[in-house]
Amino acid sequence: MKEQLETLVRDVLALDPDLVEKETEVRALIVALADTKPHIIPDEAFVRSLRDQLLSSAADTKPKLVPGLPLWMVYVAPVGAVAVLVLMLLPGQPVEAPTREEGVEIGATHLVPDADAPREKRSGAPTDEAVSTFSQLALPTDPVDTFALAPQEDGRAVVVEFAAVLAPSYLVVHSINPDGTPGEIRGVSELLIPDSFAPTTIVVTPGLVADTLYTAILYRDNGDQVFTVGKDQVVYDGTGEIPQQQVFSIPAF
Amino acid sequence: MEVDSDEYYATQCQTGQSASFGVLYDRYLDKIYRFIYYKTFSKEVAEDLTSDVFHRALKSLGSFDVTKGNFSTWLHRIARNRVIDYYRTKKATVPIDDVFDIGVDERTETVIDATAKLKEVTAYLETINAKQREIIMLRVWEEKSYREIADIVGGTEDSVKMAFSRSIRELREQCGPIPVVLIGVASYLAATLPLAEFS
Repeated sequence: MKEQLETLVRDVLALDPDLVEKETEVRALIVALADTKPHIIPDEAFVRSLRDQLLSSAADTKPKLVPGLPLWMVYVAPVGAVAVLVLMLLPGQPVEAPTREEGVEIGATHLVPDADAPREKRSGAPTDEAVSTFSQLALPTDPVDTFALAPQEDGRAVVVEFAAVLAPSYLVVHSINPDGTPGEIRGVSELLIPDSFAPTTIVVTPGLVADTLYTAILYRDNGDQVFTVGKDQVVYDGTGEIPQQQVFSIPAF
Repeated sequence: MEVDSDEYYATQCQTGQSASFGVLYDRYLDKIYRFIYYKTFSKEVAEDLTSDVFHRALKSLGSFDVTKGNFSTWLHRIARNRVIDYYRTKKATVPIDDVFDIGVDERTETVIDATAKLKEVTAYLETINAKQREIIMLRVWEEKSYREIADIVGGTEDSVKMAFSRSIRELREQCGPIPVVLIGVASYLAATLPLAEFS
């Protein structure tokens, strides 16, 4: 411990030579900080109980290999499947986003005020191609939840163009805080079901502000088929990160 | 890969030897629990989130890649994300990164005899920003290397070093005679807080 503290003091003084003359104070401060460390000991019953649960779960989730199938194929097969999916989604393939002319209808309100207006009037706005990225489709090593959002109009909805979820989930649109973190919830999709996706819209309230970034995050339904903050949890990918896609609101023309 | 390393047991677990997860659990339960407790100061919340973190780790272990990082960092990142997620769902309007500030208010959930003194200490830590505070906790309390801290909180090793140094300077400048006060409080805490208070 003492050696560790000396290392800390040396580091600080090396990085900030102005503090050398205040070495005594710096040393005292670091020692004091170390001494204020709370002595936390988890409850023994909790530790035992959680251990039992985990080992029981681990035993139930052993890899189920296909007899006769080499181990490497078990991991390569999902990659191949996703590669095929990506190829299917490449431009020119028979997977179409909702066209602008079709508009996106929310109740009786169309998001496209003038479907015949030329696109050139949107100068300065990002192109559809730039905005509509399939960033969530990077090749994974395990099955993951994926989704993509279509180009957005300034309005009251976000179009979910594609979603493949592993379990019933919701796509939730958040505003973005100044520090880049997801902020308040602006809209929630209907329940997305595995293997049965159809393009859908997320009604947002209040409406999207032009030229503003939002972010969409996937939440797993807890089984009650009703989205509830705190009960339905954010979906993480295999690395512990939260998959999300930013949504850029294009000004209406 | 060294036999008996975390990564060795993680790989063993990936191949179906579930008992190996028990080894990892025994090694990291205390660390993850403390890591979460420092950010929530609530025994109940720390237990809930710790449980969730290990369940998530078990579920995602198949995707852990030993060539891309060590198990400790991977697990701490899951824990960090889980804490951020907890505060996001609990209080969406508060900057989720600044969980320490929220934690001070929430600490009433776990009433300890020295809460007032603990608040006095943490009041000084609140004069620096959330990331600096997290770096101090990981470096001074958990004795993590700068490299490990960088992997957990993001950024480079050098940036973490600079942040730590800057934090010490700010604490010293803002709090004036803080060393004397802190040493007094530290002594008080050491003398008055039996371990059972936290268990």
